[in-house]
Amino acid sequence: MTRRPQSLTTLIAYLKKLPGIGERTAERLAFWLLKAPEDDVVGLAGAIAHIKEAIRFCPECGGLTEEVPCAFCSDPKRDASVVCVVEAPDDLYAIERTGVFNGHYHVLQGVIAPLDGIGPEDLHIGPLEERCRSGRVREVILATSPTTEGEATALYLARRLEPLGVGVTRIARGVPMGGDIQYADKMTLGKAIEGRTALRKTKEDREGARDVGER
Amino acid sequence: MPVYREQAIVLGHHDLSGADRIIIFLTEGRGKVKAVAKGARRPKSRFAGCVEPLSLVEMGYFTQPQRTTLARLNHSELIEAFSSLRDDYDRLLRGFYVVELADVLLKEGVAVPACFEHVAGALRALDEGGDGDLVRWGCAWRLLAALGYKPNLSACVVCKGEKTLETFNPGLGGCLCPGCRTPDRDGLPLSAGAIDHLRLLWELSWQDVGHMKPSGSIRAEVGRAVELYLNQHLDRRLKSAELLVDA
Ligand SMILES: [Zn+2]
Ligand SMILES: [Zn+2]
Repeated sequence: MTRRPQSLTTLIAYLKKLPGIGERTAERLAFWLLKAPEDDVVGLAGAIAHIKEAIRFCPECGGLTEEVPCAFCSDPKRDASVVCVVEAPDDLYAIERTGVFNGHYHVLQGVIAPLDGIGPEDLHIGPLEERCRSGRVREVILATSPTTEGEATALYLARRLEPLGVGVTRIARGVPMGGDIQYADKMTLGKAIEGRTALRKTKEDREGARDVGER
Repeated sequence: MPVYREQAIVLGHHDLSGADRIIIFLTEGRGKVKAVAKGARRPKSRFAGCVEPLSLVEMGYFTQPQRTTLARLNHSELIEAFSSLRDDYDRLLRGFYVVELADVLLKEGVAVPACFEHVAGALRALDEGGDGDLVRWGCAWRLLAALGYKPNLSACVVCKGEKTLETFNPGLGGCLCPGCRTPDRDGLPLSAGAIDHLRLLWELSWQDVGHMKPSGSIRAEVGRAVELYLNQHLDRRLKSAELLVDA
């Protein structure tokens, strides 16, 4: 029988609910918290309690934000005519970190997953469609993952958005940096050949790229 | 520790904690298999791109003596991605339907060799641009037959007479003649043309199934008969079927 104080057991039980945290790690974290400076522990608890009330989804793009609309949607320096569509907020930050995109975003909050019964009506698509109808959007970049579900989602969106008169593009799929052609799988290599681009960009390409949001 | 290496169709996957993933696949020799692919969710994993649903893959895996059901994947090499099927939303949805159907109908570790051929054939027919609904119905119809549930379409299931057949009764496993139809033993009305097409779903090559051109009414009858019969043998409704309704 465990002689652990109840409050410690409760903390461990909550820590175990975090992704990738098992019993042992939860125990280690709990004992670390016990020994940590009071300020750090109170600060952490406060940050956790605050996150739920402070963070909401931007009604425009579906990204995470404290203000409405979010910093991306309200930034006049960003190009509102190009919208990059991603599955989840983490994907948005991943693309932002590349530093090559300066347009607006749209977060779907998921992906079409037929085997889990998740269809288009379960995703956040309506506001994207409205934006495309408004005439402000020139290009929609579909940046869903290159998985079977991500492809299904991209195909669905292309079909739904193209009739609205916007250009729909798909992020390129190919051999990763530092990867070896010999070890690339057939599908990746095939897509890399299909999606090849000119090595020396023409003047139009460069201007097009700048239009599309190159900084 | 038995090690296997064979061709497989990936039917689906579930994420485990960390970066691991369970891959469900259909093989010719050992039927449906569930195997853990360690680290498969990492983009640079050796399994990345090779264990996606709806692909034909050479799988190397071994069974673990202490675990009776879950195998371990140690090798995967893509043979066929059915890439034109992946370029069309409607056919892709029907591809999902085919793999979910196989996953739900087939039991783990029970090899029914024809089933692998039916699923691979259906995906290939979709990839070659075949009619998506005829192909998915054909696949359901063939899988049920392979599992021993082939309905009788050539004689009345009650009197065994080979007269005109008028209705299809899924519960009795076949068609009824006009004389044997009673109010409490009725079924789905079927035209002679629809019965012929249902037979062709078994007999034709996959390529021809995808290019059958039934009239609108026969097509509707065929679809209704297959789905009615299939629902009798399923424990649950197919999730992918719900997306077909409004697609
Ligand atoms: Zn926003
Ligand atoms: Zn009869």
